Amino acid sequence: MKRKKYPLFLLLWLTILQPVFAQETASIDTVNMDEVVVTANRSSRLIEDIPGRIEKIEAKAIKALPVQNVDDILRNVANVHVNRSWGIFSKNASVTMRGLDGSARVLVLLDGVPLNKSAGGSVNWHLLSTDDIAKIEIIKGPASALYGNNAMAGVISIITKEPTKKIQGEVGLFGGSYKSFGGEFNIGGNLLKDNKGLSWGINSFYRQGDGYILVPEESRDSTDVKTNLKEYNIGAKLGYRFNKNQKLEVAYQTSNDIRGQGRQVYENMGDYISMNTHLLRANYQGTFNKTLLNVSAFYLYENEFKQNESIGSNSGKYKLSDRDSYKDDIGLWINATTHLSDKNILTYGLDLKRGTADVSNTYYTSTDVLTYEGTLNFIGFFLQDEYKMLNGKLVFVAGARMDFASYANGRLIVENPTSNTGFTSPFDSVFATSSWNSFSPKLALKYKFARNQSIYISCSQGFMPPRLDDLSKSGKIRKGFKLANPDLGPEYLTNYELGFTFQFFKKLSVEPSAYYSLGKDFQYFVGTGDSIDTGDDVPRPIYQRQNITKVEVLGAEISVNFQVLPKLLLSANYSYNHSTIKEFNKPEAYEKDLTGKYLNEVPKHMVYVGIQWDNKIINTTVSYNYIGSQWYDEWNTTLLAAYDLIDIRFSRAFGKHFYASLSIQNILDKAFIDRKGYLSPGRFITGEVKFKF
Amino acid sequence: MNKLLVLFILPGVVLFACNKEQPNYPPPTVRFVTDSGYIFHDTILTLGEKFKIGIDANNPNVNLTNFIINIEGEEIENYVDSGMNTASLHYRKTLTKGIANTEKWTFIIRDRNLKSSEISLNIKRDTNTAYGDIIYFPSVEIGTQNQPDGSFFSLSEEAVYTLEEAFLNQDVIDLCYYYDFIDTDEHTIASPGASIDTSVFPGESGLDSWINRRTTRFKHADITSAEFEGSTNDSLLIVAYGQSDGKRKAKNLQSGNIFSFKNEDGKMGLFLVNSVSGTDEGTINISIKVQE
Repeated sequence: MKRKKYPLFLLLWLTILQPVFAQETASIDTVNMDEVVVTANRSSRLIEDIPGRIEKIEAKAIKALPVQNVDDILRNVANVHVNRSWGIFSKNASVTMRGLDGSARVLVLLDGVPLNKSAGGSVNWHLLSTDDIAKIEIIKGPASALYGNNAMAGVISIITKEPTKKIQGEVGLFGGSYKSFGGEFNIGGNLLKDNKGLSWGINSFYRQGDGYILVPEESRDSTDVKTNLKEYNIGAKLGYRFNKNQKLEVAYQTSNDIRGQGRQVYENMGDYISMNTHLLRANYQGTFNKTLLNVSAFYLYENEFKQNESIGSNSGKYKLSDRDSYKDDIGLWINATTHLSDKNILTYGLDLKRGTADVSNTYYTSTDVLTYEGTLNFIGFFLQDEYKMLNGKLVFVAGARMDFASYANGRLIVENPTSNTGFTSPFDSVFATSSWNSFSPKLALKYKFARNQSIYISCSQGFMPPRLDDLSKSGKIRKGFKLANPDLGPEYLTNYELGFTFQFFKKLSVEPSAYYSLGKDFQYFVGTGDSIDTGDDVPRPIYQRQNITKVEVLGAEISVNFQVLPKLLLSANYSYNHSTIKEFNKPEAYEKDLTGKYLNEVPKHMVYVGIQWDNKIINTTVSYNYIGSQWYDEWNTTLLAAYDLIDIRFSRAFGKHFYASLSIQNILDKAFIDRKGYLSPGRFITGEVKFKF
Repeated sequence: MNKLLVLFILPGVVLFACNKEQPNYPPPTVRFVTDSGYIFHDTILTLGEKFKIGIDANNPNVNLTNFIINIEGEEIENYVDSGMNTASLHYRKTLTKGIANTEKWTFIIRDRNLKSSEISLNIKRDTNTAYGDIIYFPSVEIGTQNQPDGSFFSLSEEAVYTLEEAFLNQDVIDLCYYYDFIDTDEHTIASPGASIDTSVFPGESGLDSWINRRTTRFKHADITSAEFEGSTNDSLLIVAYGQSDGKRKAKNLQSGNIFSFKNEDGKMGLFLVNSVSGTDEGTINISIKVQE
């Protein structure tokens, strides 16, 4: 593979300009237990008062990281596994946590509203740009007692920037490997007077790139072409503060991208995916006496258009099809926090959400048209009490949530089928309505035996109803052929956890945790043992989402942060997960039992080491990630090799207004093969200049 | 500020303003070739008689993506369902009159806008024609690739050949037999023209070195052993194979399986698996009935 010459001129440029501008170094956050997070209890608390493992990444730290996308930031967090094997050219990222596969098991919030779609549970990470983020909070372990669906492995809460000046902003341009370039801006203003008035913000991000050939050189044919991408996102928000205690914010965020998938037979654009996402949200926050009220209304809409074309290497059979999917979620989340006393805080609320999917697959080289649709409705009530004892040394949290979910309007229509889709006759199948409910309790205790030295134990339960894609969708998938399972049930996860926090001289913190999770009726993709001949070179194995009777995760993680010098921070973390299937009451028709197998796509070991060093000449961040081997398939026959990456970022401010950076991901240019058998992009370099005002 | 907005938003709007909807172009045109020797209207033919069909189709506005030939006799059979991405189609084919009294041949062309056009003609069977005779091989023993007695069979010569012998008689070899360790394949009878891994029949006489790899096509036949044994003319052979093309391999063969086939000379037949044994050093025993 040919690589472009490194933009060393950027380094030279930084060095030459060095004496001209006064140096502004970003200060490094020290480890601070006085920090406040809002996600763990759905309103502000000190981290030291939360009996669970919480991590927080501030804008300053984000700015120092060698990242291209918002999800890249999470690679530095213990026990979070980010899969974005094609770099910026990946269709999306998969973010998983705590030894559980599937991004649907991690709830992602943007300013308090969920980004996971009810249809498949995934999140479009391209909706956001790193520059618009004020902080990210990560709650580890099941949080269904407060958040319900999706919060099985944890919650990632992204909080966007709020302007603090009358007008402020930054404008940047960047360029890098594979002819990628783009620009971004983030402008806002705060017109508050006597705690009353407007605030506003606009942000946008644009990026395009030529990409690279995904297929290893020895396997390429004439249809393998470079991936490519063009994308933008735009956001706007308007806030109004009525007084010191009440504010309202309305925000709109949209993203649009086209990503070539690296194959072209006859069509001008070949295989590509175009994603168009819109998020409209309104948040009201008011304090009345001792009660803080939060109301969030949201509407998330996504249209994904995917064009596929292929030609069989043996059969020579040409196929062209597209998939046009419309998915949306609408919801209203209301929660309140009442301070009953200095020691006692009550959190309670109601969440409503409705998700729909309407997807059609149209074949142009045959007559097949497949359509599926469905609706999921959710209602959840929750109540949590936090009680402090022993002069605040002991914090006790007890909570529970009752969730009701229902599946309706499920339908699969197959028109004019041929062997291309594997269906033998047309049909219009209306699936029966289903409903489920779940009681998700939580008990947690934290004891602070000294300042910044504490222990916590917790027991909590997670709940996730089936997703629309699994209930209604039948058709080809990457692995083979997927059969809808309208009988799929919800899954439950019970988590027992023990953790410590030790901080020494405000310089060194050590945070170990260990947990045992027991999954019941775990939703898992299982091969039936049958295959279907769809006219491809080889028959496609049939898969169906099934409820696995019992799954066990035995895991541990440790994070260490050491402030060596005021401007030198060392960070490291290690995660271990032993995720296995303990029992599978397989349907009779299924060929093999999965009992004793490891969960696929879960690395057993993950390591991160980071160094952040700021000085008068240049700020430098180096990060090292090791991702252990992981099973590709449920039968544990193919093991994906472990890989490691070293990333580096140099940055420097020139006076108050100018800032430049150079990021190099995978500096050693290590090539690795992903689960689809495709190459990673290798070394990826980006130079960026910014103007701040 | 306004300039900044234009700078960042406008390029995005322009770049992504691609419209998935195609303009409302007319459907493609399709017509029979009317040259000498081609059939282009309703005709009466004898059973098994060859005839030529030519189809020309095009759409100047949008590419053609799908060509379908359906034959409506006693039931509807899909003869061709082919994907493409081309401005025009020129299809020429020599076909054979099947067993149905009347076959309605329908030719459908579809384009990228999912618009379609079709033409059809009726081929009637001359009911005065008789069914043809067949040759019966009650027991043919063929070995797998590592079995020394031979893995290749010629219908015309009624003989089994080793790889070296078959290499010297490529022009008459219709079948070969091998064992594949892939679960879905295992005992496989294929035509020499099939895509067979080079490791199966390797060496100087290996299939890769052949100049003439004849193609026989197979279809699983939904008939009983008694029907197979009872057939005395080629009517069952013709019905079982039908009009559409089969595959170049009959895989995962087990005792009792019956497959219909059509060799490169157009001769149709049936084989019944009497027994299979072993793996890559095993054998298969089949009974064959083929048009004389």
